[in-house]
Amino acid sequence: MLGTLENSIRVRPISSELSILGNCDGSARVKQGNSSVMVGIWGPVEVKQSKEDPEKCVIETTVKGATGQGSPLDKMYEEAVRQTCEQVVITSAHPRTCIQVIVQVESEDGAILAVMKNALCLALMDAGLPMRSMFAGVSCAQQENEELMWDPTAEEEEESTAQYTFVYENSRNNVIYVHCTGESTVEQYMLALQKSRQVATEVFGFYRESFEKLLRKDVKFQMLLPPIIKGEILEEPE
Amino acid sequence: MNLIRLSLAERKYIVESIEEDIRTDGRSCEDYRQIEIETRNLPNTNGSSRCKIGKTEVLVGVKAEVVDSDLHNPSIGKINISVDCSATASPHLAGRGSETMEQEVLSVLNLLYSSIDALNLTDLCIVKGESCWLLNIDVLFIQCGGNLFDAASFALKAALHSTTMPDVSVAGEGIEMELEISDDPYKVWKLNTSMCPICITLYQEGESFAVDLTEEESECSTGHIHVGVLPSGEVSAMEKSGAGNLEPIALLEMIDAAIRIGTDIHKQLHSHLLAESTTATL
Amino acid sequence: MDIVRAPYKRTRVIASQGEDLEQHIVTPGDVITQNLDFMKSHGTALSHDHICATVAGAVYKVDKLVSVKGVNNRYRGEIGDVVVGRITEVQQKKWKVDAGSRLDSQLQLTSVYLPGNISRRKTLNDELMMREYFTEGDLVVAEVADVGNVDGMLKLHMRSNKYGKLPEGVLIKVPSVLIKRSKLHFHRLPCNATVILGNNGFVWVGPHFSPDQPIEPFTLNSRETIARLCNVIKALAAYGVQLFDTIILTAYDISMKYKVKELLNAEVMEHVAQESYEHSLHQNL
Repeated sequence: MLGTLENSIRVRPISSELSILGNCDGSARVKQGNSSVMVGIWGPVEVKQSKEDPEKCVIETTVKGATGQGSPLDKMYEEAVRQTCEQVVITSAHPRTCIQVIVQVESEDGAILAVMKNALCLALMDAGLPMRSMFAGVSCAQQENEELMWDPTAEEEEESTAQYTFVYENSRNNVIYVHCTGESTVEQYMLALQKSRQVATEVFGFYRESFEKLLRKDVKFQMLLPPIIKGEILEEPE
Repeated sequence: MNLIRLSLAERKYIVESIEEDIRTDGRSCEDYRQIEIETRNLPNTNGSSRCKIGKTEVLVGVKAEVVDSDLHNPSIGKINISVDCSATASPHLAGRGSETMEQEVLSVLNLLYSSIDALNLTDLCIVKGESCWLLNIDVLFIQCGGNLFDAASFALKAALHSTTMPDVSVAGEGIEMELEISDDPYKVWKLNTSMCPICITLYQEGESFAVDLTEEESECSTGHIHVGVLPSGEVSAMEKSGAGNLEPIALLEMIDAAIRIGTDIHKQLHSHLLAESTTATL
Repeated sequence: MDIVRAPYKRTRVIASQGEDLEQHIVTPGDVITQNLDFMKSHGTALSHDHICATVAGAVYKVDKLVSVKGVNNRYRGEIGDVVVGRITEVQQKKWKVDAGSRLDSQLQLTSVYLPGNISRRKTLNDELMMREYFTEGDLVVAEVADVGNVDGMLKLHMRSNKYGKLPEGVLIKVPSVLIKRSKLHFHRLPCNATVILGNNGFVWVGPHFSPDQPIEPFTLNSRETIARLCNVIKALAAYGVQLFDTIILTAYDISMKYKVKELLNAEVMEHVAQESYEHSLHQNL
């Protein structure tokens, strides 16, 4: 999967599991190195009249960290998750309903916001919610010597002077979310932004693979397919 | 936890099935569902485990740190258990809904491990009166499908069994004393879990009682008792909760059943954990 | 019996190997076609000058209608479907029913078959007595009368006495796509049990029953039969096998060599599901 990245960019192996939670409409677990995040999506479901919106669905998010105790970061993650959902999910398709997004961080070893976004995207796709595009999170940490460590571990993040997380969508390869902490110059930021695009493309390829594997194995899905008439194809897009 | 609303007809069927000893899934009142256990599944921990019974899935992580010894108990170490129910377990449990459930499970686990002998706490002492090990035990429920207490206790015992503690060397004395914690993966020691109890919960249903209830069956139960059973068959702790009343004779019968079932599960758990550790790689 | 074990890696029952799916699988944002003559259905949207996918799945084209069907979808509902549902609320002149779709379904008092004349006008008494008919928690079986255009809310009705409240039995929930569409939903099986396959994926297993007549008291045998049917249905559903009366009976017969509680073991479930599926293919059902 990572064969097309330039030599200076090294990321940890990424793995995913789909439809892991029986209770949820959609769920996914993504592991990058020792960082692991699980997302469960419930909905669209009924919502109390006081909360309902007649034009679109309401999105509720909950984020829980790896240790039982809550932390102020959880609130920040909840907002980040909700924002991305609002941007990507076609909320007008399900008025008067609610979508509950639940994020559980299982183990933290750096790049947690990026891993969270990736798990979120797969879970939304698993739930069959209408989306404008897919999205992928890319994280990097800038060292003292200006070297960029991609998909950093917790140790690398701690030793760095700046940390960036970029989230790309794949219909026009634009950035839809950015999170930076630390100190850096504008040039350093632009360089990180420019290089992150490649990693995002790799992650999108990984999503496609994960879904193809899932769909190939699923009997329910196979039964939904119409008998494929040989020779018939759809109009080729440009 | 009123997540499922059952009709009177379903309740009647469930309760009478238990009274007739043929439950809705064909088990008898003393049968457990399959208990799936794996250990060493979480990185960055001293020990960890995952236990799955039916839909219920629980993760336990054990992390050790060196702390000052307790003034009143200078020659033993400490354990600190925390229980968290992930909002993924059910959307109804997001936010504050899970607190009662978490507290109940926590109180049962604390009850089981309140005795010094459960997990030999003297082993956790490093320097008497000065330093000792504190085991931070995190219990996380990923999915809830009935019988949370027993699942948590099995996972906890398995996690402790898989825990490896680093070697500590003490240099100097008094104020200049320094502790060196070894990084060597081969110089580790294991905790003595031979006296760790497991919890067998017996639920009262109508005129009868049963173990390992599914969520639907739990909706119909009136009261339950938690029995902490040791591998030797002795009872280490007991607690009754829930609204129903129990006749003393029924109570004795339930405890007998708990001991029978508990010793059997201990044996199976022990041989499974041994088999797992001989096939595992460091 | 050995109950403590290592986690079991589940594999799915694979259907016919079929054609190569690659060209047909799309993910959100993928362009399906530039030809705007196609009518857009589920899973698609118009984006600038082309039709793109909004869910991950396969492209499904019927004449001029294009849609994308994914794996996990909530039950949508179509007029004429028979569903099993649970009453969640009793409101003025109507009940709210949970049938597994996005919004709770509605059952109007006027759409219910009540004892007495087939369609008499409902009196004030009837309104006050609503809880006497169906109360919160009750399981009912009804037909879908209408599907809301915008929000997809289902309106249910009970036009004959075969619909109504369900007696003692067990409810199992399976993915709605696994219920094969057929004319029959109420299956009185020869093993002395009834299975109702709701199009919404709610399956009810219980004794034979007739409207307005009390059910026969349960024997150990009848309870065992019901338990066996439940386990067999769960096994088939866990492996993605479509449910209909003949395959359930086939699976029931195949399961007879195991004790009922053994059907809860992962390996046994897989074996029963696999064998039943192959048997049904062989029979070309």
